[in-house]
Amino acid sequence: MKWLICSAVFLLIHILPLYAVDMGGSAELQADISLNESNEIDYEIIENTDIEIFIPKIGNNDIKCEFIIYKPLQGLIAGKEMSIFFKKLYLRSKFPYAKLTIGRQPVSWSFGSMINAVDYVLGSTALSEENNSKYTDACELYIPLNWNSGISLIASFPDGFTSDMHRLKSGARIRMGIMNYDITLNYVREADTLINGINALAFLSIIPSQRIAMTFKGDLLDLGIYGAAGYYFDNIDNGFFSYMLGIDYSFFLNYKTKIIVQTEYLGIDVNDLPLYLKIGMLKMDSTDNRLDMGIITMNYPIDEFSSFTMTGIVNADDYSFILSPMYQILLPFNIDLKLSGFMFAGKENTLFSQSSLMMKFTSLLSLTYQW
Amino acid sequence: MNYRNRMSIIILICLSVIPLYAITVDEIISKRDDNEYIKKAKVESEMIIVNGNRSVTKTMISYVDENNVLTDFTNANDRGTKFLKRGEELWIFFPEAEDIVKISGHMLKQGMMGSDFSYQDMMESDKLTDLYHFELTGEEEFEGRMCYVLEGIANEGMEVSYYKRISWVDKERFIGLKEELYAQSGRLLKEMNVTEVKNINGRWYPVRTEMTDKLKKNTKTEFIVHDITFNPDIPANMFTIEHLQ
Repeated sequence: MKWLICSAVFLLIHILPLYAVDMGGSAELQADISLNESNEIDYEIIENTDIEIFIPKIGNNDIKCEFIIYKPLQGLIAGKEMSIFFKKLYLRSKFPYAKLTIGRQPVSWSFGSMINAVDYVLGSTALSEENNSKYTDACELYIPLNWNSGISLIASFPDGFTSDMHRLKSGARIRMGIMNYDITLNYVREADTLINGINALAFLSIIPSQRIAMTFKGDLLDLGIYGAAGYYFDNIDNGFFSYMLGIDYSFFLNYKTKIIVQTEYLGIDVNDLPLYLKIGMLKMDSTDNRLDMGIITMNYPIDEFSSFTMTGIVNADDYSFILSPMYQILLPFNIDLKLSGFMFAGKENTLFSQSSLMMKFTSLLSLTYQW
Repeated sequence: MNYRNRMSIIILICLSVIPLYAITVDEIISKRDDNEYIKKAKVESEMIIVNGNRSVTKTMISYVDENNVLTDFTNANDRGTKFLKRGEELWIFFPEAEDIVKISGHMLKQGMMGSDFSYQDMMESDKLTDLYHFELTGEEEFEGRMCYVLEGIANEGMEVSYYKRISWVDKERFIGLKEELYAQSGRLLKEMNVTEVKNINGRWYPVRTEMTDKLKKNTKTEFIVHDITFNPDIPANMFTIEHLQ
């Protein structure tokens, strides 16, 4: 497998330029160090290579291809498992009144928040960090209404393309620009989770199968404000709400240093969830019917090439919290160094307390070279 | 006609003729706007951000149509990142997740991609005559060229990045060769120097500009225009969030 991947990449590098096809990407080396409940240190070194192939447009058609190879060096040198993940492999065709995208693609309904509880793929964006879950096999139809408004209709297969319509996830989003505000309305219906032909969704997931939501983002005087409200349900009478409100602001610390602050509140009503989920999976105070979380992040630009960011998340119900500092610097030769850490703290059985699932502290050192 | 009468007539003629040849402040700014104000263009450019002996280069292609600007970054680190400014709104496209997000208004005063040019510096698309009230304060030689020195104060009610600007405008080519940008407190915030000017399609245009943030030490940003096409054909949907994707 690893030789097949390496040979394919080698061929791509040498053959593609002949067809006016270009390549770009990045190489990243990550060291993940963590301290667990028993004060033992674990570490893992991961390297990955992201490759994007730039294919010239053919008429109104655009083909995108981007994939990531995990552990290519360790695979070759130390015999470790090498793997490949396609982030994008899609065809986008433009028609006079619509745009159709078919294939593996990122589906993201971000609107500027740090945590998005009403995204198409829940959990795909956390503290502005993204993961691979937003890359999904899908078919999206986008119909523009005016310069800042449009309708998206999406059908996706989270487990890969299949003819089984039970595995189909679907959604719709209307985006409108009203009075300098970006307003969206969306609906999502999750795919069924089947085990031996039985729908296990209700038992396996704490999130109901359908949701409707609205988001907004705009300016109020010198503040950037944004928010979201979502309703999650399996049947329309039995659901729960989530609310989010955020502000962002920037100010000069002295004449030359501008600090950016972003803070948001996220509330989720969990009164209709089974009790064992509340006290088990969520590890929260079971007498409270709402999960209340506050998030704040502050960015301090040290100079043109480096910055320091501090992020804190607190569960207002039990005062457990996460503290995450991050230092980022662009080194010579275009190498980006990022050093970040997560410290978890709270009393026993609280949301962010240390446990067998939650480390005391994790840190991540990454070096990225882009080409 | 005695000597006194002859002198009176000469002085009268001089006084009546001089206004025909003297240039007004509005004409200077207007001629400068004719050269530097872009109504519609495609620009291929480069931005070099320097701090001490370190530098980083960003390359981009921009499309301008009056109040609308679309900038597409092409260097490796930022490739695919796009900004759309339409009127007073600024939108960003993140290529990795193909996300389109509206940027808050206060961010417009931030340095664009870490440079000494703010988003407003780069995308302020109004004519100077619409934004400032200028007065001619004198004439000076700058870098070997004679210049008009003009002082502009922001017109009331206008949203501008700098309250006051002093400009050295080339008397012959009507290009701002140097500009000092001030806060309302009178503090000098930035200094801009044009280091290269080219005649493109019959109009002079600054193709190499250096911006220095006077509040920082040892930093500057150089903006180089590699290619500019005036009045190109720009597709109708260029300045839409649909086109950002």
